[in-house]
Amino acid sequence: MMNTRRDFIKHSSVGAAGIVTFPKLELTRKKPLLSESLDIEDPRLKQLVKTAIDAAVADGASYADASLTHIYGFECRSGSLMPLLSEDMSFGVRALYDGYWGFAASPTWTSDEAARLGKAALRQARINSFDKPRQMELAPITNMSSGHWTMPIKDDPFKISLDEILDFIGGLSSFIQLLPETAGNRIITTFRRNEKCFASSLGQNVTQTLYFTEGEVRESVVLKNRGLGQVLLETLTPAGMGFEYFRDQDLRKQVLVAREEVLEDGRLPIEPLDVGRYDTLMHEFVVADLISKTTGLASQTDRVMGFEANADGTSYINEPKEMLGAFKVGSPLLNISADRSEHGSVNRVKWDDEGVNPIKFDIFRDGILQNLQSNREGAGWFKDYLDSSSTGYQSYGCATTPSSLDVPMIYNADLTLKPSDKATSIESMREAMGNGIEMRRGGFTMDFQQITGFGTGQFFRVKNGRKTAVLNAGALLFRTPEIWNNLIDVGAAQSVRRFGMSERKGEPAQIAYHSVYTPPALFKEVTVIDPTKKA
Amino acid sequence: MNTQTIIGTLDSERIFNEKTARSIVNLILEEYKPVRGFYIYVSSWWGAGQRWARNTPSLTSDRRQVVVQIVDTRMRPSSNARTNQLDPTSVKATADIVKYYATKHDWNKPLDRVVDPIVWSPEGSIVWSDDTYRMALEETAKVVKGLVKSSENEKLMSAGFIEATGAAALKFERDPWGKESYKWGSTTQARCAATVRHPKGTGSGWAGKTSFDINRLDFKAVADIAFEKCMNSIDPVRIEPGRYQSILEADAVATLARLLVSSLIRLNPERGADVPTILGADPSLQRFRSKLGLKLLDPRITIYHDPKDPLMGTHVSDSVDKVTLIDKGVLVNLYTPLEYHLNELVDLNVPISRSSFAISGGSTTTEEMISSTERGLLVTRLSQPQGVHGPSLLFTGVTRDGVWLIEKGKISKAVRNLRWTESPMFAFNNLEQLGIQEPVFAPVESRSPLERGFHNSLTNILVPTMKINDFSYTSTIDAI
Repeated sequence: MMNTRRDFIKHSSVGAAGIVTFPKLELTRKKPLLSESLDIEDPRLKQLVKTAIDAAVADGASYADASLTHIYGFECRSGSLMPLLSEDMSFGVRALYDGYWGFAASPTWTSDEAARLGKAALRQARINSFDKPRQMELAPITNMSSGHWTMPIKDDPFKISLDEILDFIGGLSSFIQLLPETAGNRIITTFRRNEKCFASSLGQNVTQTLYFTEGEVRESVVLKNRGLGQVLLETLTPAGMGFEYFRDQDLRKQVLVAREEVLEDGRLPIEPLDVGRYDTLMHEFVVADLISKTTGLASQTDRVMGFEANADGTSYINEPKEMLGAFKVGSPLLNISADRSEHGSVNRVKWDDEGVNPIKFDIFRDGILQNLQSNREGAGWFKDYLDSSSTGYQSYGCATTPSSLDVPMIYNADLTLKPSDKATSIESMREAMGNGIEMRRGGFTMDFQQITGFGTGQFFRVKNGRKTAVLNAGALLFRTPEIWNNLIDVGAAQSVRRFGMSERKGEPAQIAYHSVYTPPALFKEVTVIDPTKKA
Repeated sequence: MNTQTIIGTLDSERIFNEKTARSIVNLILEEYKPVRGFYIYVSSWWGAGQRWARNTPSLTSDRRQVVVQIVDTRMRPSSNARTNQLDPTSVKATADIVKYYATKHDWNKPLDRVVDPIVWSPEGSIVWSDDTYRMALEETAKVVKGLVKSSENEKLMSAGFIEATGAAALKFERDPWGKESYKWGSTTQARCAATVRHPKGTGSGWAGKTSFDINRLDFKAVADIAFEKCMNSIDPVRIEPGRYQSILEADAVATLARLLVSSLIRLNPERGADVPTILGADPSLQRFRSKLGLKLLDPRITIYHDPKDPLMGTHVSDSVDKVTLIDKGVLVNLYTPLEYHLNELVDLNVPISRSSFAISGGSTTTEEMISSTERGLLVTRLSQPQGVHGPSLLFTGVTRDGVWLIEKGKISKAVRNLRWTESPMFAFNNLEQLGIQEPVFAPVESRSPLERGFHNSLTNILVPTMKINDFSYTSTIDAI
């Protein structure tokens, strides 16, 4: 019987006794084994993580957890239809001693290495103690569970022939190439499967299979007397989906609609933008970036408490215990909830990277700060507040590690801006705005406390409810509470769209992803400046 | 061979040696016997670090990673795959994948030559420090305990990190004519940065340094500077935005210089970049190359890359020899990707990518700059740069971690952070005084796990403090 990757653990004949290695990709096959996965539920893996935890606990750890991640991925591009395949297997162990964390990680999945990592993690933690414990508390895990969960997807890209994916890209590229006024296109598809095994000294053991899919479809079109215009589909940002993300969307139709919009905009006159204050209609993608940076990053407990002060920064929530439940950041239309269970979300999990089942919670309700995004330690810092809150004292499940080589940190959960109950659409909002500006594409750079923002993108003049001109320069300048207090309308549920966004954090920096669900939004009197004007 | 013998259990075996790397390559060569036109890249990385926040250590870590990449360049596009597993089955299977896809070439495209994104450091470059490689976290723990003492005493909050990394890589290449070559390199890097903040968020100070040699980092000096900057920046006052003579400390200069250096690339303006750049075609001359030979900056400014300078080099470098990009203010060279070299058959002795660089320094100390300033600002860092106009290289961003007003040759008060809107072209043409060249803190870009320690992830920058006239600040900001 031919071995499969499910028979993966063996005792190597070439190594020292007890070395466990993966045969992984088989030489007898002439095709890459994309269709096969190692079995993350194999009991021998549970033994491996247990070995690491036992080693840390035996040396004095008050708590330890260990995780394995196996990330397999490939990327295909039009014009270079050869995939880039990559595989990463990591093993990370965290240990707690006297309130200090130690972490050790390597790519080696062997029992000897498991014991080494357990001891090394404990050693890292212990060296900080100097017989003076650090005051910290890990929030309890309520309803702790073990088991396996696979992110539900329709078409597993690792079970589809790679030729089929290459054909799909090639077909779409050829379709665009034959369109009039085209000046080239670029299509990229990225698929990753992340298999995780997590266990802790609390006796919990969970395994998960997660998927990450991202795409880019970009076309350059020739605009009459105006050079090249860029057509870019916004419907392929990172998502927790399979190949259906490409196949089930009518991408050809989307390209036609998007390029028609670009060509139509290309026929509008170009006008200068006078600085001033304008009612501003923001498209969904722009609002998503605003939500992610001004409400998401700012509400992470480690940033709030100064743990990221030397890296990306802190937060405007600088007196969190006084501000929780009282600080008004925006108008009553600002309702931001966090969740990690929505189908298609890039951050969807059953357990976070501390074994916690994430819960749905409000960050802002009626414009007022309600909760902070937390992991177990972060929840411990706000025990008193959480004890008296409706959720109780627990972690909200925001611990994320991109791979086991990285440390679990608090990253944005999937965020949602509550849509309007009214039947508002971007067209009706434009009409209701009457005169103002419209911002499509682009994004924001925030200062290191997420207070002051600077937004650039594609701007249009709106007169009497109609787009009348492309504005040739312009940028938004705002303070976070100011812009959210000026939120006067949001789109209806039908206009909500999902976008996957990345977040960089830590020292050394590591990157994780989250989704934002948002309708378009209308803000009154936003300050618009000419960004090219110096003092 | 097994994985455990490659990354050892001992601290002295944090990364693999050349002999081990060659044995991994030989394993792959067994699978690749008859093939010409491919390369194999194997690298190993180790990083140990200590983070602290709120005056106590928050995490101590030790991480190791390996990468094997095989690139078959026989046909265009190249077939390639990579793994971080070194057992024979994994390595051979990775080779098998690459060979399989190498047969799925597009016959309509021309033969690809070996595309090499890496030029290796020349013989004799020293970018290795045994002391960095042997850094014991037990020792740094004691150091950190001392560093946070002054902040603790003053009821301020210190956060920061110390990190040491070591990396080694071997590249084997067999070109289309069967010629084989091995290239081996290794490097170390140590970094330390600290932020001290007032618990109410009313003051903040920062300092950071990077060197290949941990002995050249003065941890205490870094912590002391961050502490003093915080103490001296509490309760800053607002000033009117406008143009100020500004003393930009080396880290602020590095941010500005990086924006200029990263734009000096040949490929995009010739191939049609998405956005116009400083090197865009000159309407009067039609060709962007005409900017070569033009005076762009103040004649006191020379920008160069020297792989033989250990403070700038890494095991994989930009060029074989020292390359000057801007010589006494005149643009003399542009970064040129190798693909461009091959297609256009231009001189190969120019740098191929943008990473480490240096700006020549002067001899004026910061104190002398302050004492000769009638009215101006002293700026610690420039942060969050965002491009607003490509052709003039105009950027906007914010100041961070300490800005002071200088009046009549003395620092008179701490001021609130400001939004700056300026072009490095303008700033480096309005140079008043030039300080002493020094290495600055070099943040490592975020990378996915497989890319960590892969290729040239270390960027080292040497720049002086500069006093610049009429630096433009367009608004104040609330963040401290």
